[in-house]
Amino acid sequence: MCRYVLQDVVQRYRESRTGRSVEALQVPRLDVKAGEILAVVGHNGSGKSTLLETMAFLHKPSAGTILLDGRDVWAEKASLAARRRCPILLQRAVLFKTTVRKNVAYGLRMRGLGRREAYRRAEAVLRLVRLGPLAHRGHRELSGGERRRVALARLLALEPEILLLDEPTAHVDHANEQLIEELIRDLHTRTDMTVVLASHNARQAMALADRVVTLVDGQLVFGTLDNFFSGTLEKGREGYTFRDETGLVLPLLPEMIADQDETLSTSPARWEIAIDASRLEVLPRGEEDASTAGVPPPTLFGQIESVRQQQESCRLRVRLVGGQRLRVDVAISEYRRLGLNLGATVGLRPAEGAIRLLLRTPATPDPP
Amino acid sequence: MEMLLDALRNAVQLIFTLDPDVFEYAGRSLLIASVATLIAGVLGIPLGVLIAESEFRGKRAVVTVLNTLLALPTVVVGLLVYTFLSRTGPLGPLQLLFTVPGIIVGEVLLILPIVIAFTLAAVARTDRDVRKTALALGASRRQALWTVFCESRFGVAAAIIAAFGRVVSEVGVATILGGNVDRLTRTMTTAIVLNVDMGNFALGLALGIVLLTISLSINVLFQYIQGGGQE
Repeated sequence: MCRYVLQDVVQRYRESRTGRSVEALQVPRLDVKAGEILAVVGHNGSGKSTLLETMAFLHKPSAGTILLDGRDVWAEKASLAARRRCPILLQRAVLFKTTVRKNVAYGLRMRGLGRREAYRRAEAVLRLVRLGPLAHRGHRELSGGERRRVALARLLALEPEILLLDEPTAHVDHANEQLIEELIRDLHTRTDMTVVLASHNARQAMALADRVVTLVDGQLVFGTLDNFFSGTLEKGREGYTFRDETGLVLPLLPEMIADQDETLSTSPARWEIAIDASRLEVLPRGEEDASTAGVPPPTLFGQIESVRQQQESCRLRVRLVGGQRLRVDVAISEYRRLGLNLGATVGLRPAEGAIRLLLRTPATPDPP
Repeated sequence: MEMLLDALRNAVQLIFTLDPDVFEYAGRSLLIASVATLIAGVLGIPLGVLIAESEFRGKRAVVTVLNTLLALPTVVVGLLVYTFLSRTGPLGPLQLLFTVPGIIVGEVLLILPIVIAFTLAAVARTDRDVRKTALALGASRRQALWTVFCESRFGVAAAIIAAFGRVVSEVGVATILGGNVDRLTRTMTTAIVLNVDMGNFALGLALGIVLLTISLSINVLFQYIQGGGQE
């Protein structure tokens, strides 16, 4: 069942300097299924925050409809009720000038809950995010990571069915980043809540999300994408090699590229690519050794970490040797034929047109 | 110098012997300042929040006018209100001229721009994301506005204190609209002017010391509240 359906959603704003109308977001169609984690990736300024804030019903779209559980929220003038169902962790969420406990209880108090009960629930959530002892601290007495966790606790106290997270680990250190990711994963597993998260961090999107969509200059591109990586290209004797920040090394052959108009080059500083989950050939370990001449060998190796059966296929999550995760869709018959199972080691080979080149970041970064 | 020391000695004596005149004028001044500040606060704070939080054509012009009114000479306000309250003026039948309520009307008009402009500045200075955060956590528009106000509370309190300080030390409006009538409308400032004119420096100085003490207390409170805002 679809929790959200965004249909032809456009968000425009007027530039104060020129008075010109600028399109900040254009989403022809986006479905979010109940219980899934959807990641929205893209560069700074690509429209991720606008999309999430629109999904949180903070802004009425300039055009298009947003259905929440099949109901057109704006047409039914039910934005307050919808906002209360879909709380959002803003990229620049501020803590109110009061104690941590009062901050966490804020949303509950706004919903009319009594002070005592709100504080009791706030304290329980603070323990969950490992900030229990800080309940009575002032908002200024927290580190950046603690502030972000308090901001997240404020949402979790509301026990939402839908959670919108705009850069949940922005400006936090590695330890807090891991803690927040762990919290999101645990909560999703325990409560099966629907999560939409925006991130410019491809690793995070891949680690947390069931599905990844990409925004480029406010436009949702290619519908939905799996296996999103961000890295650089290197030119060797036999063509180009893609390397991402986590150490993934992928030889890029011209036939693997989906859009043949795109030409590979090392000149942009960074490339972002997506590998189509349904176009990854799976070879059980051992079989690739017996590959005959003329058949290219697999380019990636890993272990099947999870298997989820879909209608006519299985979705595998493969943990690569370097720790990265890839999603792979295999027909059920093929899964059986290859004798795959949980924990099996496999080789992977991107088939023809499996890789899409998404974004190229210029060498000189844009001014902030 | 000796005259000044004599006057100072007499002034301290007047204060410590609880001179009825000193305390009558001080009490009246405080009453006028309190009531005027209360009325200006009730009117000015919501207006300041509303102007800060709304977007409308001509907002910049409104802010410019408010900032200009901050420097309004007290005698001009007094004169303007006088024309309304005088017997031949549109509000003449209310018979407010040379009464304490008459002074309060003038003082409210004098400090209303201060309360609005300072509140507006305090709310505008509050992080724009406060309102968005409140809405994101499920607050209604009205609850979000209240949250913004609460987050600006130190700035708003400073506006109230500044307004109170302006009234309590003001002389133009009190003279023109109060007429400096003994036992009726004489305030600390008008009494100081009168006593200095009469050569009664001791009483003038005693009132001056009380006025300075009040101003000092207001400033200490102002600093304390501002300190709270920075915590």
